[in-house]
Amino acid sequence: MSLNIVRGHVRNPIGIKKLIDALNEYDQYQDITGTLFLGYPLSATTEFITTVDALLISKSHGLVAFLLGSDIEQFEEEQDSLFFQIVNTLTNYETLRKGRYLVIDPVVITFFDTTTPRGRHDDAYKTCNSESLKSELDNLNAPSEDIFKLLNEALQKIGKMKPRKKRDNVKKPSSYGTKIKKIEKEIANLDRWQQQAAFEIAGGPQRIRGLAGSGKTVVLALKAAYFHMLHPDWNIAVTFYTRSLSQQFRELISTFALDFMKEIPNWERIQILHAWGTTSEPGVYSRVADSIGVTPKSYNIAKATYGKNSFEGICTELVEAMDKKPFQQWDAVLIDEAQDLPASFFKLCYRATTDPKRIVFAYDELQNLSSNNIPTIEEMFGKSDEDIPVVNFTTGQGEASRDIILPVCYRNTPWTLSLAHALGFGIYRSSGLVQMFQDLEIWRDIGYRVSSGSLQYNENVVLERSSTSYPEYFDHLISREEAIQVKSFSTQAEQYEKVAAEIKKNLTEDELDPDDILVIFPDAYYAKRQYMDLRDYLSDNGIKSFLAGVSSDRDTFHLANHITCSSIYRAKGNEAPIVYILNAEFCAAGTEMITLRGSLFTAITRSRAWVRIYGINPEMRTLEEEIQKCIAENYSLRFRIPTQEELTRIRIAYRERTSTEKIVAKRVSGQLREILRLIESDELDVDMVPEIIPLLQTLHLREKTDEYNE
Amino acid sequence: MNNNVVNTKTQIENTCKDLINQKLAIFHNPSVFSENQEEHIEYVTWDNHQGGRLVSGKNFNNISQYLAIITSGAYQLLLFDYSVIRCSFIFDMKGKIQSQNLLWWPCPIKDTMAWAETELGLIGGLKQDLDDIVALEQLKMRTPIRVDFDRDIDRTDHPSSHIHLQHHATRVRCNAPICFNTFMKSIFKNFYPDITVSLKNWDYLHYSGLTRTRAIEYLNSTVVSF
Repeated sequence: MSLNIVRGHVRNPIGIKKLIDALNEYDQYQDITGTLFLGYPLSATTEFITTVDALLISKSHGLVAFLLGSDIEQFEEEQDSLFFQIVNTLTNYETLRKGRYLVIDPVVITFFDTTTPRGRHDDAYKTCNSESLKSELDNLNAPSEDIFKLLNEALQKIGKMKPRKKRDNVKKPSSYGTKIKKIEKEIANLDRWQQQAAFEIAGGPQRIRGLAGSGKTVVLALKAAYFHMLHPDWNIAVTFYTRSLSQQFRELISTFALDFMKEIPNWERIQILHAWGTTSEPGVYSRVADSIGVTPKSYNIAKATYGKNSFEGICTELVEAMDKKPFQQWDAVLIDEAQDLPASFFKLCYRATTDPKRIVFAYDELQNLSSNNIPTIEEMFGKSDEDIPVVNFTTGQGEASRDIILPVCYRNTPWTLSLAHALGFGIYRSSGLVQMFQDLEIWRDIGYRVSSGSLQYNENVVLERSSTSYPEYFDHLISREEAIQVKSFSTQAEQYEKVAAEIKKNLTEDELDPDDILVIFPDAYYAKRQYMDLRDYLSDNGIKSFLAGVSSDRDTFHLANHITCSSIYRAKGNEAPIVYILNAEFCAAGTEMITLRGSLFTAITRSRAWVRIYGINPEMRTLEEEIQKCIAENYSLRFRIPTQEELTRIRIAYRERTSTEKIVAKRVSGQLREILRLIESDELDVDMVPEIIPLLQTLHLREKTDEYNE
Repeated sequence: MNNNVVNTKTQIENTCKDLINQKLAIFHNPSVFSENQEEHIEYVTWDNHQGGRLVSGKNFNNISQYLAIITSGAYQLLLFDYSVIRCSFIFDMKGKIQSQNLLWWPCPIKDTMAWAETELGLIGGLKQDLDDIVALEQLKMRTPIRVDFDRDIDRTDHPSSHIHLQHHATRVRCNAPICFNTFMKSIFKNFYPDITVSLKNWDYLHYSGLTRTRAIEYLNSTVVSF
């Protein structure tokens, strides 16, 4: 079936079901390639809300608005009103106008779910029921391909989302500037999964999973604006972990609300809140605490009490307090970056939300910068007294989806994404994997296909990006060699000199702007120092730069005429056409491999077109070898899926470490390096250190045991 | 560029880098040089000058001034405890110092966490600490110190060379303008007595002909002793 249904607000479920059945039947007879929006938001004011019962946008039939008829006496008036609302909406789009007229004639049909409709029936006023729908649709003409595309863009509500950069300086036909201009122009339409995620309203919690760049934030912003339009009296919270998202959400929701309602949203009702909050900037946690008379705990006190798991600890405390003193303050809670939030935060949201608990949360498992596992649904929302999970994501027939996966990655080229997964999981690492999805089906869900082998534990498999998991334009615009470049240098000076020269070329020859360029330092601790060194080289080339969050305010990520440099933490949630990852060797090996490789994954996936991974020998060679293996495999992922027991061992081995463990590892690593140096320079006779032999024997024995286990 | 200007800028840059190497400073913004042909003066100063109420003299010891300075990056050096060092020197075209302004703005929070390495970033983290009621225990009350020199104003209530502390109108008389290294040495010596700073590569500049030779008569003044 080629008819995609987006189940938004449904006014008359019985009538809608009959209409869908009739359309499905018609679809068997003649393909309807398109989308049927239920409860499409046309416009709203504080007094009056217009949603279309069902809006069909189809390649074969153009734009058809269905009204569910109830009163045969009034249908003409209803049609007139809806017709002009649609015309009004479409007229706003310059692309849909030609001279004084619209390029498409909207059709309004009143669908009666009972007997054969009567009343006046002519070209202007169309009515039908299940039986006569076919004859009405048969009379409609298909719009041209161009008009269909423009119509989609206009009605999918994101055409105006991102003001496209003008890029007036772009002149050369195949410069980076020209390519990114084309890419920016293409990213305007919502795909069918995004439409579902944005507009489908489930009668309970809803989960949206997707890769970085699959549009999760846009979808949540659209959903918040849609909720607000349908229910202006609802209290809606939009929350997240990275503070810089606050501004982005405010802008997106404003744009969508303006589009839907022709006015700025009522920020008293839509609250954009950080998950935690401070005295001057309320968050979900602090607001709930205040409401039930609990003094919110600050970061410092929470850290002193709970250490690393500070947020989890204080949310658990608050959940216990809420059980004694229930208080529900939101009608819907939308959570972005759920992968970074603890299970107790979801319990808190669950308790603070009115029935039917409209909690919509979006996450990307791989973007979790710590190695904590994403909590299970039971851990997030808890179990009933009968030991049954209070939330499940099973979607019944004809219901809005509760569990949506966004499989198309718009931000990254397919090769960049495969490489990011290869490095993030350690697929081609000589010492083996560092992490793996617990649920193997996720690979398929996020757009991979099995090209050989089997997607099962303890089996060999080869995975590659499916052709539908990325937009076509990447294949036409960017070659693999151009998209990804890797290099190891002997010294930092050599690396910085090369980077400064390349950035200069980006600005002078490649027609990119300074804010198209992002430099990421994966080692957050040394980022300041590394930036200061790089800055000298950039400055020598006349390039201005700044270090986000250190030499700029916390919300500033782009400064006019400056390139942005950033530690991995500040880079999260941001993107740029070209990304330089410097001193990447930091992620090659270490004590907390899941965190290190997670950082590398995050850094690589900031790139919208080109990524440069540079580092210093010898550790960088490890990464370079892994990358070369991935390239040799034509950017597919070839590996043996571990057994479940092995997976548990891997997680323990590469987990986040306590500070004591880190101190011990650092001390031993320094001592071993010194021993190696002394032996290599013949300053130390191995025979003088008898402990070395048992050390080697122990390591050898361990290796053998591991091989045997495999 | 006049020799005095070159030497002053070189001294500031070298010492900043030296303090970074000694791990006594964590971030350095290079000084900038500029000249004003109309007024016949040359400057060595911090980049990104920002005007406004928050950075005016009257907000001398207001925490919002500290935040405004670090937020705009209007400083040369961020010390290990997140205290700010910034300075500017103005010379006439003959290289004679006309005015100076050397500021140490101590970080108002003690035991500041390594915010710069987190998602909040340095400024976000500091703001969070300042917002945090519990963190009030962590507040550290220290007065900023600003050493000023202005060749053209020399009154009993405003000596040419003076130190501001505690109140914007407090001006403790000094003998003469000082160079950046003298300033940094006195900051470390007086306000970080537990810190060892290596001064072995430091040079000192003397801005000639400006040492005060006459005593100032203070009208109705009280002798203040430390």
